[in-house]
Amino acid sequence: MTARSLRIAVGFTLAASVAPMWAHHAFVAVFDLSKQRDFKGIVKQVEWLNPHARFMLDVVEPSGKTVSWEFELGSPNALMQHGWTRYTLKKGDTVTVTGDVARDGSNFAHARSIILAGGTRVCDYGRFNGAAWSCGGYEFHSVTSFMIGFRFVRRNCCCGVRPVFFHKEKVDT
Amino acid sequence: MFDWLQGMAIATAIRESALVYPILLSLHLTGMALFGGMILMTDLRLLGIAMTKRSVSDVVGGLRPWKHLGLTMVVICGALLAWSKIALYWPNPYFKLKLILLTLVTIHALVFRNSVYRNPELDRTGIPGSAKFAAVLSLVLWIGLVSAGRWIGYWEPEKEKTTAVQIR
Amino acid sequence: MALFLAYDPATNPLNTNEWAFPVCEVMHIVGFATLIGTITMVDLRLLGVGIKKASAAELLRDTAPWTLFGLALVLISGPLIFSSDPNLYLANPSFRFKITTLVIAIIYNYTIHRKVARSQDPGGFGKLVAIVSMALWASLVFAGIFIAFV
Repeated sequence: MTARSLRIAVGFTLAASVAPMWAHHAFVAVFDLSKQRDFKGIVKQVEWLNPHARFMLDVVEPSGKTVSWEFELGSPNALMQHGWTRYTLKKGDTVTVTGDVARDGSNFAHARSIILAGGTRVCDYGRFNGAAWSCGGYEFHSVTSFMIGFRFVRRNCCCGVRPVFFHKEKVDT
Repeated sequence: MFDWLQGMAIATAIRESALVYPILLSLHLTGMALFGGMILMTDLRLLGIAMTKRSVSDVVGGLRPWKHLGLTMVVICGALLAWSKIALYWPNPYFKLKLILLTLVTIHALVFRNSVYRNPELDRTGIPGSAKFAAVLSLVLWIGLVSAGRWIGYWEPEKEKTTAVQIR
Repeated sequence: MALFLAYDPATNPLNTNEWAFPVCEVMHIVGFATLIGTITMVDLRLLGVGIKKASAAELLRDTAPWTLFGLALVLISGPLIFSSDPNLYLANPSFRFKITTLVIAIIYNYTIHRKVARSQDPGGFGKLVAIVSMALWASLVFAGIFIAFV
């Protein structure tokens, strides 16, 4: 009986303790979309992992100090759907990142778009297909294809990167 | 040690994959969807709330192999997912909570195996308080497991904060 | 296709409250586990396995209130989660696929599936109906996960 009571107590406490202290939730809750800024620096590390790829940048602030920032991207699948490869961003590259800063004030931001070492610009599409944030609009082939979710073509893409989700088509950007 | 585990080829392949990780995660959730509801129904039958027209042994026995199939799916996918990022998950308190709850669920299944879940006598004698208690505990543990699993994705390790000195 | 909302999602309590969003998601998971689990019980019976002592019709009757309960949880938590970031979800192809499939699955469940499960002898057609049903609901789960991966 006591062993059982003990296990109830433990079980309930544990199950009830799932109310988190440090929850980190929906995108809009973590990042402040109104606090967008540019970061210029050298890529220190790229973590190409699911569910969110991320990278660390040594940012040279206007003051001259170097601060380490961490950036979050979408998933590898989402990124690769939109033109990224595993090696698009490499350690040692000097890049400029436009990102939304985290609300809690830490050195953490969501990378919206990155101007790479070579000058091309890539975007994080994993979370950015929202028209509110993308540079242009969408063009859908039909209501059906809109509903099915396939066959959309992004035009006037800010990054010049073609989406290839279930449908390959030439896009003039 | 966890870094070594995570560095292994399969773990890295899953972690860095385009489609494998989401498919594994989807199978993990599909296992829960197709068969998790059966755990709920078994426990609700034990509580006398659902499927009362069927005998306890019919419900529990009929669903058992399918619950096992679901559990196998969920555990295999879960193990692969955990392995792929084990070094990153280990400091995560919700991951540890999930491991603890998994252990509790296993103990629960063993403790109540003969008295509740494989007891044909229940049809004849009715459902005693201890069986109902087992059912409630089971529900709490499983829902706790699902919650802990979801919360894993929300935990971030403490990060440095920018101070005024640094940016100015 | 810009969606200019009357409200700023940043003010949504789901985004400002510590645990509101994850709780909604857990509600969503428990909801679909109940919904899909109970439907699968009937599907398995149509396939000739599971709780064999009851007929598919009897199982359908027994599980129906719980299927509805699961569906209610899903249809409450789903729109709530959607409201936390409508632009993001509307533009997400996987989400759109999910909603289309959800409508089809619900209609299918309450028409063909119900009719066949209730019939005297579902037979071979019943097996087909069961497989389609399981496939529909499983694809919904996949679509839900893939929202974060496309």
